[in-house]
Amino acid sequence: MEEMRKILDNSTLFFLFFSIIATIVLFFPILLLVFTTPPDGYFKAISDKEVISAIMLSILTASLTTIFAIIIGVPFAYFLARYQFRGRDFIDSLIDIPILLPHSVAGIVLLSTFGPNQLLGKGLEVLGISIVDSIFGIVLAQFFVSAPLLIKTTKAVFESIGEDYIKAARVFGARRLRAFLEIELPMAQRGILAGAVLCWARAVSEFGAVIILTYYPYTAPVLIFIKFTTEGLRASKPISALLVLITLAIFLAIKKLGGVRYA
Amino acid sequence: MLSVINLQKKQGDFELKNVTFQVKDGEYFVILGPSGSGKTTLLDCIAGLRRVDRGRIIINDVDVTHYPPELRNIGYVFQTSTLFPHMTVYENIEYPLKLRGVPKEERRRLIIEISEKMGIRSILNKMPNEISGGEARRAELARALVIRPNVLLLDEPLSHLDEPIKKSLRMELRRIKKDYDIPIIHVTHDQREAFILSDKIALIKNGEIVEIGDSFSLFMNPRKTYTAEFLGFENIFEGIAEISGDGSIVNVEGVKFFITERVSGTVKIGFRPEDVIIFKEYLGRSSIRNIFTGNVVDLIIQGATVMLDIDVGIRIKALITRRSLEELDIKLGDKVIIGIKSTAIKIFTD
Repeated sequence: MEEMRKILDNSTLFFLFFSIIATIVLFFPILLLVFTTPPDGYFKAISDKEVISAIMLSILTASLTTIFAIIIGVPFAYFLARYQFRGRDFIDSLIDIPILLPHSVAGIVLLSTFGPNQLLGKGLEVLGISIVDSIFGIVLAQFFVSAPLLIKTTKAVFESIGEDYIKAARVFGARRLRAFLEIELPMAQRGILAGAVLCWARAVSEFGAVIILTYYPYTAPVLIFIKFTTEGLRASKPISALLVLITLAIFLAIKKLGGVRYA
Repeated sequence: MLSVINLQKKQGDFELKNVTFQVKDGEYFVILGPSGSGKTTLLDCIAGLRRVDRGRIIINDVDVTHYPPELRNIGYVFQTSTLFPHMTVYENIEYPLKLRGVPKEERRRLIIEISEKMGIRSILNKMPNEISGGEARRAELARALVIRPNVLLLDEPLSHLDEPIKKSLRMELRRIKKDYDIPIIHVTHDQREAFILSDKIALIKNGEIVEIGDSFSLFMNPRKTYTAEFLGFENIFEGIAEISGDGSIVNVEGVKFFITERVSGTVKIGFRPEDVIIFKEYLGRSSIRNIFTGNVVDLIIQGATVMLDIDVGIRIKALITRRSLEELDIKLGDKVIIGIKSTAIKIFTD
């Protein structure tokens, strides 16, 4: 009893109060969605080929996006973290722009750059790639909005690794690239995985930019929107609940397997 | 042999200025200075981790000034632990050998040999987060030495360690000096550590070497005020000197000191608090040339010793044992007589 009183002192109650409000606003609606969807709703959603292919497409494209984000984003993040050059702070702040833009605007920006007859779109057409109504478009849209999360997380991880480690590797005889690959990259591994998980989660849930570039084939968020506008809440809710469960399961599994912690 | 000649390096507001020194094979060279004085920057320049603006670095007659770090064959133990956390202690020691293309069997032999020497054979399969601070330092020394480096650089290798571990590592470092016959440069801010380990000491301040000398003569006869302050001369005064007989008399605000050197004009003099002798009453004629009377205005107990602050017209610090304090029954405000032998008073050149 005495212990209980100690735990529930005034300052604890203060923090508890706001934590409860945050929990209600953030998690309660999701729990409600998952638990108020009847079993036959889930069953119907699972047996709907269109739903399953939309969810699979979302998972596939988000995974491809994350792979590209790692390949391109990790060296970029390292460059920003470790090299001193003029304009570094400016480039650093540019990374935030895709995160700050409304996602519909992100779609417009991409369409007017990579779309048919646009500046870089012409080049893509020569290579036989179209970003309109194609998987390329989905991946491009997802990459644009989600890669900055991976880059920012990874950059912070590299910055947190003491420079003495790289100095040690260099003195022992490693050239810079080898020191990066053999020392810093393994040391940053968990942090990069944490960034990749965030990137994947952002990519799989992207709607605004994707629908502007690629209306069809449907990704899960696009399909849910279409179901909602054409058939209403009752039709869109079970698909939403199913998407939440599947993405949450994948998200938790990666976190668990990779030992990811957001310190 | 390592020679650093007129080395200059500007980095932001900080600058290493014309640093010049030589360290012979088998010599233990300590660079002593407060934090921010440029010690680490200097080691980084020697290791090739920073480009120098001017000057030369010569190792065993080869000018390595423009060599990348991997071609200098230098062992470096950093201030913070740099054992790679994703490798075992064995893999950590193996890493520099791997980079040099040493065959696997030979690597194994060298690692076992060095780990036995350093007393870390039993922790070879452990991860760095599973070993103690002292073990980590030994592992880092092993990793630095396993390549048989041309020079060994040690950046505050004993800081952040408990006293018993420091003690055993100091012995280890002395043994390394004997066994390896290479120039060793050890930077520290700890004067005690410097005197225990060094053959030679360089005092560094704001990127400049103030004074270099062998540890004993530097300790006994510092030539610069900064060195004296750093090495425990707590009584440093400026006064006007006049030649008198076989020495000089230095007048410091009316208090006259006799010193053995013959100088005139404005000078700086200094002496250690432990060179001040305290009398409770005047004993008559003695060989002590400087005798003053004053009052004890402060008294700080420092474990087994006591620092007295005595006002004789100027404030003089005297260090006595706690036992002496009790036997002489000295209290705050007491009148005491102090004596300083003229040979204990040093004169500084700056």
